[in-house]
Amino acid sequence: MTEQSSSEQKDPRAVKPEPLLHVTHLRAYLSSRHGVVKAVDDVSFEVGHGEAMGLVGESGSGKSVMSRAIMGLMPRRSDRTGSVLFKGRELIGLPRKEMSEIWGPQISMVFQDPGRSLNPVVPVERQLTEGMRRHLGLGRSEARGRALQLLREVGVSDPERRLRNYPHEMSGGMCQRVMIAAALACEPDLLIADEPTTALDVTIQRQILDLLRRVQRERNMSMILISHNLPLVAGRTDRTAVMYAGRLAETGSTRQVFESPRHRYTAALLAATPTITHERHSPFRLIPGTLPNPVKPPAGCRFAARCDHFHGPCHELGPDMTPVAAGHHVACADPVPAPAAVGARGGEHDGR
Amino acid sequence: MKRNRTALAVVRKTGRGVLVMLLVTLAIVVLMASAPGSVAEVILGQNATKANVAALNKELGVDKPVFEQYTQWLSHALRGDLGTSPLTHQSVTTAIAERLPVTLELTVLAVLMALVLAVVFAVACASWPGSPLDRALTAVSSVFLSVPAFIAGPVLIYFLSVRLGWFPVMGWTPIGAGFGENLRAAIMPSLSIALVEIAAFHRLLRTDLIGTLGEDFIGAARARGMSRAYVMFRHAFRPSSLSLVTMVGLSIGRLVGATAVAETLFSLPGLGQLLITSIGSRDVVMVQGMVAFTGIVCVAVNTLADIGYGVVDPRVRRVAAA
Ligand SMILES: Nc1ncnc2c1ncn2[C@@H]1O[C@H](COP(=O)(O)OP(=O)(O)O)[C@@H](O)[C@H]1O
Ligand code: SF4
Ligand SMILES: [Mg+2]
Repeated sequence: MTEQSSSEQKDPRAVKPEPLLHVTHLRAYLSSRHGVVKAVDDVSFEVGHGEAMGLVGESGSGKSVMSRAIMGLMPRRSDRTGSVLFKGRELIGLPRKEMSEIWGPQISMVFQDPGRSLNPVVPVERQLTEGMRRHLGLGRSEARGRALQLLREVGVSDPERRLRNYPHEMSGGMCQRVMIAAALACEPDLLIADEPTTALDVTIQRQILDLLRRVQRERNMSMILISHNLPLVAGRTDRTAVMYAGRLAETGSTRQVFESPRHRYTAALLAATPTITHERHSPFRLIPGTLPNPVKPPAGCRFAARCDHFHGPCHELGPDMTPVAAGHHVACADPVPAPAAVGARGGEHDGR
Repeated sequence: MKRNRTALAVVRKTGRGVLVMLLVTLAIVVLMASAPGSVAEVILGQNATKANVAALNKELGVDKPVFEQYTQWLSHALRGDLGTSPLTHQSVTTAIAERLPVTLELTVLAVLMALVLAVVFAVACASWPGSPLDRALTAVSSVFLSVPAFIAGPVLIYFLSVRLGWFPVMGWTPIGAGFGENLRAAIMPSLSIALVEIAAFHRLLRTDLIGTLGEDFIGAARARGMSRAYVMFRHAFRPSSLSLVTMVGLSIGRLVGATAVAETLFSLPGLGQLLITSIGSRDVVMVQGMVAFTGIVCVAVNTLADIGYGVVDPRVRRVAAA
């Protein structure tokens, strides 16, 4: 519902609301031994207020680099261009000092491996309260009180004891709950969760994802939920963006993307994804072939080498997406034919 | 449970230290006995007859088999009696107690200077790795690492004492005679032995800091909006200082050795100076007592370092025994 195009708006006088996050032509290039990795190569999308967007794509497609490019937490030798507008403010080029005012109270992040994203020699209490003390100016006991409250909110039992714990004294799931509490501490408007459950047991995965969805809704916060596992994202986001080899292939409501995928990659992905009944850890490695070389990506559609529907015009395809339905955008020269209409709104797909 | 295992590790290490000390003190007796000359010759001077020397050696007990000499010394030492120098007639413990403050001050000052400078250097380097600043400091460090105290000392004396007159060229002022003067006398000798340690600490800490700064939990702390300085000192520093703690423990042993050079160079009345004179005059009793004492200090310091390791890293409390 917050795509670039406004052609489908019912009331022509309605002013399109400013999205919370507006990313345009974002590129993030990293230097490596093999050359410049074009990890994110001209990506544009929006995230609306209070909206949860899933970002899916196989491992190596650039999801993590993109999340860091939005955050401004890039590795040393890297290059970031394009525009990241957050609440109308350009984040690219903002000095670190100003970014550090945004990290925490405006945008915060939950990382993939909770075991490694907590400092092993610092007790939970400080890691949980330091942000509040810095950004909200709370004193020690106030911050502690709020920390206890946050731990309860994320379902941690015996929070007093947890505050005194060191990370190695807690399970992975517990560490991730603590990380989520820390990320929520300063009430961010946008939470980016980069594969927050990939390092966890399957049973814990669901609990954590449901927790994220719950707090996102309760707080009316925006969220980007990144995963290589489609079904995990399906039931917990309003919109979904599919990423492939540094570009977006398709964006739309989660229901549109899951029920009527139009990009050939999305369709192949869904076809290859195990169904609800035997959902496993499986990342969809099942499409034959591999990602193209990110140092020298092919011209035109990056999925061409693996696509059954490849033909001439695919080579001329640019990075921009075109609307195929209200709020549904695809970058494909030969999209899957449209099925019967699927609602543009109406959020989740019951993919669990 | 955890605590027991740490205790076990400490006991094991201390046991190993005691064993090393026994071997070292034994080696001293053997070496001193097989070296040419004897304390009797030193006492009696150039004109002594062979018979006189032999008689005095017999009186002092140095003619007995080496192992017997050693067990005798050991049984006394275990009761806290390190003997009396046949040369100066001073008890070894008194001699050590008299000279310990100088050596102790030099060592402590050297460790402190090395730590402070190394931390400043390492934090600067790790904050901007690969920068000109980093490269310059690392180069300075390499120079320090390759310059022994007996060269660094004279160079420092020449520039800071002779040319600039900031510090005395040599000599010692005890703390009792004025703290400022005492410090002025101690800084140069301490610095000359600290240079190598500065370099060693700096390199180690720089590498460890850069490693830590690449960890996920550092990214997470940044993502909470914590300032650069906070991330460096409150998140990166502690997990990076583990090997430094061990290194400091080891360096204290090295420094005690190095003070001998500094004390000789700057003519300071410390243990090292006494050790060197005692070796020169074949005063086995004195040498033996001092080696034993230094050994105890080193073992104690390393045990403390092990305990410090556990304080720095909560995980170690669990795995110390592993
Ligand atoms: N620090 C880095 N330096 C160089 N290349 C990197 C770095 N991090 C990731 N990449 C490369 O960028 C591409 C995208 O990686 P990533 O964003 O981690 O993918 P995803 O999160 O979707 O699995 C991959 O080709 C990966 O090898
Ligand atoms: S653009 Fe062509 S090659 Fe690419 S996904 Fe669409 S049909 Fe396949
Ligand atoms: Mg990733």
